[in-house]
Amino acid sequence: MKTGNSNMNSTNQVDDRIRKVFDAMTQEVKSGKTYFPLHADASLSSYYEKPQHEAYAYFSFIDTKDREHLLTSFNELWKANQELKPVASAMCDLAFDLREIQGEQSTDLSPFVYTLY
Amino acid sequence: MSSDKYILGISAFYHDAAAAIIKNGEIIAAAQEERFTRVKHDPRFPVNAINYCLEEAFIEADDLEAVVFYDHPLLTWDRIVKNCAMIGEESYPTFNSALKSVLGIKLWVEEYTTKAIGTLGKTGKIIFAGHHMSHAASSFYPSPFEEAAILSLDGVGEWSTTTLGYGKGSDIKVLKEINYPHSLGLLYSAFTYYCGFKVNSGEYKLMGLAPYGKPTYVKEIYDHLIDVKADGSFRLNTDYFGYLKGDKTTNAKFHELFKGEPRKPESKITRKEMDLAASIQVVTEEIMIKIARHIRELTGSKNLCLSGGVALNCVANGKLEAQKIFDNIWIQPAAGDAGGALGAAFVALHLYFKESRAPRTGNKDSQHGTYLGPAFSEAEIGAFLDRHEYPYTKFESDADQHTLLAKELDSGKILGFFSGRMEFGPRSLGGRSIIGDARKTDMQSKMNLKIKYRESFRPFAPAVLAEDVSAYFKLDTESPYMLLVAPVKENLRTNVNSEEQLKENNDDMLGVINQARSTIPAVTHVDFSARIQTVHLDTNKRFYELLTAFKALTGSGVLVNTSFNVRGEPIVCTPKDAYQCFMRTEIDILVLENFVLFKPLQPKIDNDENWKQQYELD
Repeated sequence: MKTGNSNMNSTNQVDDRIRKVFDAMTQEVKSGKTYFPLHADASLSSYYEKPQHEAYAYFSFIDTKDREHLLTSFNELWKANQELKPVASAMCDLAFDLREIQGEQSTDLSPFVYTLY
Repeated sequence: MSSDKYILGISAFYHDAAAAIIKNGEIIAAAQEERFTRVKHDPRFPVNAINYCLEEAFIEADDLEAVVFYDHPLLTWDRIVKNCAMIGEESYPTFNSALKSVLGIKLWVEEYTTKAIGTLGKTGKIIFAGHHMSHAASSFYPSPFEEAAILSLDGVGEWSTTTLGYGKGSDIKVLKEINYPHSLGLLYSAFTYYCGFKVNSGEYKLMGLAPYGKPTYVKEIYDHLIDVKADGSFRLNTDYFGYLKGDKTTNAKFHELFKGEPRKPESKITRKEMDLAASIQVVTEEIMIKIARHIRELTGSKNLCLSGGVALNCVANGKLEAQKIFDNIWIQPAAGDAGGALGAAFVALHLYFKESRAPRTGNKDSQHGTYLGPAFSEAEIGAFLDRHEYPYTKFESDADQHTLLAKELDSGKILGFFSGRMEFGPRSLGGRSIIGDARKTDMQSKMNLKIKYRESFRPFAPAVLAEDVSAYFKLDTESPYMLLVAPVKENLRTNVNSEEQLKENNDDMLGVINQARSTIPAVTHVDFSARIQTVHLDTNKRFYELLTAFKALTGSGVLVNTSFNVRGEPIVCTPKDAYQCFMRTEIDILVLENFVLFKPLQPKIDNDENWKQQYELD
């Protein structure tokens, strides 16, 4: 794993690639697609759900040996989400490239820390 | 070759990174990274905590059976992707930042581990335990119960925000859950932010502020923000929250509902914040109690194990305890994400390796009082003091030492108390504590202004001999981890009516803070409540004996106990950290095991005037 400062060019290139992935993702996901409810539902007697991700709830593995193995993990994750599979490959590429250019870990907490990233 | 099974659990990359190690199901060590790096809530991969755990276990990294991470980064990524896909363009900044963070760093736990310790254990690959399963395991496996209902409540972990489960013997089953974006933790955090406190650490302040207010906003909260079913399940109205689109928990609609922008941090706290705090506290308690009734019915168990960041809400825990829905409640003292490291290790042992859990006997947990961090020997402390030529008195007799310290406490002196292993979790429990006489009317303000360097509305916590708890408080159970709040007994209360004075003073909270509301005023909150720690001979002998000596001298078995640090600083870990905090504050006496140091005899520390700039305000 490399550490140190990433240069401006590589940062811009990464941002361009992230933008492309985002655009492709939002195109693939048809407008109005919902993955989770946003509001109350008076017709329900309970909001509890059965465990939604049982394959990961207890313990599991992520194979990051190479790009192909990671892509398999993505495809497994999204086997019920065909609309996301087209962007998985670009995300794997970004993951491997970002691993190379990420700098030292920061001691600062992410502003998004309350939603765990 | 040894057949012992050592498993290392890790939590990292979000906040409060930590490591824990278990040996055949026995907890050997656990610690937060911040204690070693001296960076509060340090989220970085916990290299120092891992190395400490390996040293404490007296093993090489190659001896590890497995290394377990407490969260699944890809499942977290799944949530972020689906969140951003639903929101569209507005969420691009979040997507950009999250992609770099999750796919660029968090996904590569194996590399960080290999770089830190050169191995992934005998399994050869990282085991990823589910986030809420890690919480659940951290509360069930060390608990005293053979079987129990298990409830985990936090902001969010991967997708889940609320998990109801059942544990029996070696097994845990998840029964039901509530998923993102519907979260009791995120709801509480939204009010934390709106009231001007830091999300993820300021929740404790909001809880402490609540008794000053009236729950006048409860109806608004139920009418607009959250719908709660009879079984305690809930959904938020996401129109009022900012976290789906950006880095703020609230949005303009939320601000409109409560008629104003969020309070600026460090600005004056007004009646509005007090009432908001009281209101969200009531809502939280009501929901927790409903969920507890439901899980009791669902599992039929008379025991409850509780974890997740919301389980650090000791006021709600106290209300839950008082309801007697369960005969017994056990709460993981490191209920937040740090404790996930411990839970993850247990997940691997019992669910992956399918090792049996030792049968529970008696009513003692296996958390060892949560004194799971580093200890320092007499030789190490002596060498440190001698090297720096710091004057000290060394006691050969514990009884003599306790007698002297009891007298000093009785005379109003404040002690930095460093004894045994450091605590795992956010509370100081007599391992690394600042202590004083709870009967002194000026103790709260003295500790706040001259030691913690804050003017806080929060009272300090009482440490009480376990056998005396019912003499001082309306509590008939143990609270060794300071996770239950209960009222001070009526016969100890004075006639001070803070409620009336708060009305008269409108929002002048400071006017009522330091009033003597009981015979133990330093630990009695404005509503006569107290955040109790029961002290036990079998887990902290030195602290127990000091309390006993103090009681013998004064008739009072209660001491003030607050964390050994200043505002923004992690709790001290080493004798050096303790000495530094002692010298930078007006702590009168430093106790390092059987060494006692008196402030007037110490040499002045040169060039240390700017030390406060080291610590960001919490």
